Amino acid sequence: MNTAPHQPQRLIVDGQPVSFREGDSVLLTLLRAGIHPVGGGCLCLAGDCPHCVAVVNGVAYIRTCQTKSRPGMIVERHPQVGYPALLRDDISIAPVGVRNLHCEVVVIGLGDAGRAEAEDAARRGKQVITLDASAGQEVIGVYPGPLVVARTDSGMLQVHPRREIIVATGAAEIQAVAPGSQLTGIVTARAAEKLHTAGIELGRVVAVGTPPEGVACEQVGDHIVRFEGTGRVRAVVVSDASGAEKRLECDTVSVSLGLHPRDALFRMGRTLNPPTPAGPVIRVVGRAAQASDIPPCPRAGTVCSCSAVTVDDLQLVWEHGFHELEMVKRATLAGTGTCQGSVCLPHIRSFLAGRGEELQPPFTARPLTRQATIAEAAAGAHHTSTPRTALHDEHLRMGAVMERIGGWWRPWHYGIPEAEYWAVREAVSLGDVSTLGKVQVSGPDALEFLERLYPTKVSTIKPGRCRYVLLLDDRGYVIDDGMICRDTETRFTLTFTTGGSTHAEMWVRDWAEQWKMDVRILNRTMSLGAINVTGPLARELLRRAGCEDLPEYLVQRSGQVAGVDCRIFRLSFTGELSYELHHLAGDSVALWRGLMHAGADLGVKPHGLDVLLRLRLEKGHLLVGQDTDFDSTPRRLGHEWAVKLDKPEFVGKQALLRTNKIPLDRKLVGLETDGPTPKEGAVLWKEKEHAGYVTSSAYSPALGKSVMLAWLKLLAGDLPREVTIHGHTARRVSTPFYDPEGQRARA
Amino acid sequence: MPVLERIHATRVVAAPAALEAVRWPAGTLVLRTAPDEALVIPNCAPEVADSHAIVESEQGFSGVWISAEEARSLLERHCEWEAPAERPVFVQGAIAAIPAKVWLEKERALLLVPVPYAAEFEERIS
Repeated sequence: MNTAPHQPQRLIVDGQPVSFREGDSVLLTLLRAGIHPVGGGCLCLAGDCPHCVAVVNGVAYIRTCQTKSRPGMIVERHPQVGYPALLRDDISIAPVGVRNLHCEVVVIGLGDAGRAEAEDAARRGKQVITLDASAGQEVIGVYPGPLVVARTDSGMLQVHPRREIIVATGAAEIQAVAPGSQLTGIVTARAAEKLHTAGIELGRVVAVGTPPEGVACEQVGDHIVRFEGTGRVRAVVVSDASGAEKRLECDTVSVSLGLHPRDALFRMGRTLNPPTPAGPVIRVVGRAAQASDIPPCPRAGTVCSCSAVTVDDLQLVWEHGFHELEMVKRATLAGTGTCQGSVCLPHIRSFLAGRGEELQPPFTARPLTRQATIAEAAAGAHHTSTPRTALHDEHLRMGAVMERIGGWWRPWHYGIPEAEYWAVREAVSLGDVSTLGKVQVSGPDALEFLERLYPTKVSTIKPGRCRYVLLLDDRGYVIDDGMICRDTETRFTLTFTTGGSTHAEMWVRDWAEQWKMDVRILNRTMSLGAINVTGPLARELLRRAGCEDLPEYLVQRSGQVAGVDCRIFRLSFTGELSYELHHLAGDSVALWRGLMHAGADLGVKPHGLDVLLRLRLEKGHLLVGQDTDFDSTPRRLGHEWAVKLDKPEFVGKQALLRTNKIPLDRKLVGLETDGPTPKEGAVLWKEKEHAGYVTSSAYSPALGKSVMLAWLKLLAGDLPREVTIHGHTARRVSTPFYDPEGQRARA
Repeated sequence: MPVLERIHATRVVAAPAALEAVRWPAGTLVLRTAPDEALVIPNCAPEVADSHAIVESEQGFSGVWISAEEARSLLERHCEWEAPAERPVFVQGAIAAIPAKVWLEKERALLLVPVPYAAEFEERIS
């Protein structure tokens, strides 16, 4: 036997404990304690109106009539003036989970009509999910998909019906619009019944319209002139058809002016209905499908409590020419607040009809129908994931500062960028270039396919050799660059930039399909790691790592390095002797560590992107996407040498033939200055004329000056030899800035 | 949720007819990721009657076997698309907004995610 003394359960209202009865909503608890949540306004106890909202456990705009009282719950009334805080520092926001459910039919609302629809669908063998607010499943939106989103105590539900959404949400009671309607003690008839059943004393009740069942009251007609009282209603004044007024003293006014369909979810989702014989995606049934009762044309008072819109406000916008319901909504914001028009919509329709307009259909409904927290709105959503190379943890272990670059986490630097720079220029350094796009193409049509795809003469690339290539779109604009490496007569490895590889793969596959080429394509970007060994001592390092047979410049071959099988490409992005080691990603750490160990006394260091971008700039290598624009042609980039217009068709050729006849208007050029290094994006001036902008800039330790790539306009038909940047002179020079003969890379 | 680990597999791209005709080594799981492509676990050396086929060792995926109930719960919480009811079945799509592949058997499932996404995937589903 439980002998524990009975402890009343309490929640906290505005800092004071308030006892509640098991099963009571927060609103009932407040009303039992003589508290009106918002200080006045008609209560519906059905979740339709905004007159019971409060801050509950730190979340504002909670409908207290739909929220069960729980021990220790913190309830704060909204301020009488202004708005409640939406974000509070003292409330931690926990992530909200989501469940995805799939079915054929979802029924929203389980009144008589909804239950009948659910049973009928189940009888027909359909897989049915029912959502009912009274069971704690509050639907807040209907979206294309179709997708129905509901809030529950345990998180969000995302229901994906394959066939149909049935809205059976019933109807709301129409509230009164009249002076004094913001007093306390005004309730709808259904609310009066619920309060009576709950044992809340209503005092002397006057019922306007249909009286509440089981509640002793005095019944009067349905035209309310005004409510009277201070704080709480003390009398209601009604009029009859002749206009004669009658004043009735009371403690509570029960209002029943008809019903208004709760069809917002249907109105929100009806654009999902395709004009096909397959039938509608969304249907509305029962009372929610019936026409709204239309209350008398409002003459005075608050129409929309949510946005504080009065009849006078409606009149003002009417006089300004806003006669359409949708426009009145926009002009006044009526219908855009907490209840999304549940209270005001029938009155605004009546207002407009009363001024000679036809009764207009309800305005558009849009998600959400209920307030949601940021955490609820974000439930199940993720930002774009950023992949990590196999060396990610190794970089962190070596003190790397990581950055998101080109859609990957990459090491920006390892603490002392200058040391990394000089390691490349004077000793040897390792760079993680695993993020480069790597695509294999094989097949009887591989050569023909790549000839059509690229502007270079692919047939002149011998097996085992590599070539720098541009990738053009069909307008002749550069969309990516990289290497073509010919593995055999009919097999090639293509590389692309880190940021462009995903699009480039789609580009390659689309053209292969379009041209019906007999090729096999495999994207190896995530499967292969790649380490760039670069610097004058790179050859020595690889020899120490067990690889003697190294390829010549722009040649590739297989070999073992530090015990790891590699494809070794002799390329150079840094301008120094460089070998790119492609290998299975699972071997990356072993290879990296093997190289670092073998090169310890050679001064080997890793280098990050910060330094790599400077090194490549010294060589004048462009970065597609940074130095190129959306309309950069090879001619504008000074890369005509990479395009062979005398070969048969390739993507972009016709556009290049056409645009090459147009006088050049701007060009990507090299600039150098003895002044401070300008920021990327800095404006170039030729005297007072705008002459272009900087795309890449860096101070070159090897050259002792700042170097840039920049878009420079042709002024009076010529490229200026000098421009100013922030008042400092910059000279146009040819690129590469560093080792223009390329002797170091070819060493 | 068990930890994902890098798997050793073989990736085969070949003419669809040649791929259909391959007699895969016993004990391998063959996932047809595209009409002309298969991911075979574990690593093997299949004979493919296509002289232009690309057959490569594949270490680009992390994987883990989980129970059927764990798989159902995972998909319900992190996946907007509906997995077919049939078993076994192979499905591909975003899970927790990360590209994934799932081999669903009656009692268990193999979950595969590209290795570069594995760490973030684990964070998202935990």
